[in-house]
Amino acid sequence: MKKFLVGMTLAIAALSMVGESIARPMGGGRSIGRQSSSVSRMQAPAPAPRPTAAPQAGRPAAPVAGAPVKQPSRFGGLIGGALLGLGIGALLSHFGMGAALANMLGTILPVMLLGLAAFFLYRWFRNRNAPTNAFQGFNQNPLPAGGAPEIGSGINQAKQPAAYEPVQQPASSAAAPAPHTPWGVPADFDNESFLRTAKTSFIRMQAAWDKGDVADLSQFTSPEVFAELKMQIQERGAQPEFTDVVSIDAQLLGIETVNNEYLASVQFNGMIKPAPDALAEPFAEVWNMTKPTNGASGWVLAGIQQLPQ
Amino acid sequence: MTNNTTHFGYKTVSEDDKVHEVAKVFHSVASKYDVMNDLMSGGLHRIWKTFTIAQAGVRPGFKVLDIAGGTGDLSKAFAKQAGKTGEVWLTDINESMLRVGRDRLLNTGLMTPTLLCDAEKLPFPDNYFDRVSVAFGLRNMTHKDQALAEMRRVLKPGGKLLVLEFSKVAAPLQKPYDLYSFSVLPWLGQKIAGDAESYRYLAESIRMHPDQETLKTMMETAGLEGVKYFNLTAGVAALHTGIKY
Repeated sequence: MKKFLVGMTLAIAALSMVGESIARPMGGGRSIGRQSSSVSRMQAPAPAPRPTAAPQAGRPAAPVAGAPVKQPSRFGGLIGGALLGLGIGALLSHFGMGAALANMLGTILPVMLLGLAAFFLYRWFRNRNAPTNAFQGFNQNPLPAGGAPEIGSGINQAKQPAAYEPVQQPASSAAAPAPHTPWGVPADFDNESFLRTAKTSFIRMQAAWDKGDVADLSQFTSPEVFAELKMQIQERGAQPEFTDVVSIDAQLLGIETVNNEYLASVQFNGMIKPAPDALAEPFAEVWNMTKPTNGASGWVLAGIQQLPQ
Repeated sequence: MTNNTTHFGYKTVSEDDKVHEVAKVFHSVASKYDVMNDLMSGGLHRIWKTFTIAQAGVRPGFKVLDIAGGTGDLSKAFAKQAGKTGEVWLTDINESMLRVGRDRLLNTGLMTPTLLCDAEKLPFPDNYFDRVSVAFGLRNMTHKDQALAEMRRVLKPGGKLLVLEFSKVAAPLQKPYDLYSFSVLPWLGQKIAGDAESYRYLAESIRMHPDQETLKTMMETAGLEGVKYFNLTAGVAALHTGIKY
């Protein structure tokens, strides 16, 4: 009976994981503080390219126009089915079929891998044929070298903004809306080290958020964001949170000047684990960082902005 | 400036030149380092590193020094095992390699201290680390005995040194291995990284590196005890471990 219960629990746990969930990083996954109108203007006719099923960091799966909602369930169903299979295996072993379980495992795993391969091939094929809109083009073209600027990879600062231009596809451009033009990263801006520092701050502030270390948070946040975060920390009480950043990728969307301040919008994509034994979940949000134009102080987090849906 | 000479591959060069030549090789290959490693070893280097990581047995709270950590493969694993209470230092003498490594760790959410330093003059106090590792780095060091002594110095009593390095391949494989490393390697280097010379150096420097028994003796001379080695893939690489008591 015990094994049966374990099997059932496994199956149920597997099924409950099928539903798509978006991880909640610092700030509870809400928009707070300063918002950039340029980010809001990045209107996408298709749903925002939140990473869905693909566990690939830095290359979020672009949703396929047409049936974007169905996509995760197909993937989830596959895994769910296979895990359910495992549950049944455990059930069988309860009835004295231990060897059969071993056999089944040996069969299920390759079948699961084949299924996954077929699924990715299928999606790749559909993606290739799907019309590319401006926002997808933006996301399908991360920095060269897989999004992580590497030394010696020959990334040319002057060419950087070009990476954000949408792919021009003559066949589908009629259907696509006006392409989103980057609202400007100055050509002489040190993109690479800015993004490195941004990633560092993200990881550090995530750790400070988990511990409820308001002193550390105050160093890197504007007063309004700090107030909001502090309130959320007080609301959750003494309970420390857990977030483990598994992968992180950052893109500088643009810099604008608003009221004697530079406002830089950085989009973070990646995977985080909300609990030590949980599966990593995708997240995507924009951090708006400000710095006084007179250079009196450094960059601080002035707002967290959720991507337009 | 010294007038002492040492080997750089099969060439004999002055010691100062070796430092610069080695630096040049790694500046040249840094960006393609991982791709080339996979191609050249057929992915075997991952297995060797996995074995090394398992042998290191890093536990939460450990202080670990990764020397010649390059693109950070070992540090990444160590940092996860050592956890938030641990301390993993990624160090390398080559800035280009270290930058690649630092960015790669950052992209996986790991912020470890990263330090540009010379293994022959480690900027750490005595008896500080639980584990010191050097993977495919000792070969390029000019004074190997001095580097090993430094590694021993920074280890805590009871701490373990792990040296993963190319070694002497078993006799029956010697011929095909030579053919591979002197013909195929430089060709691959030319095709992929556009740099045959650096990969010719790699092949030559492997031949000049002390074999299993010699390195074991060197580690013992440096004051490490219980030194043993594991031949990996018939001795293409070998992992030496030693304890400081």
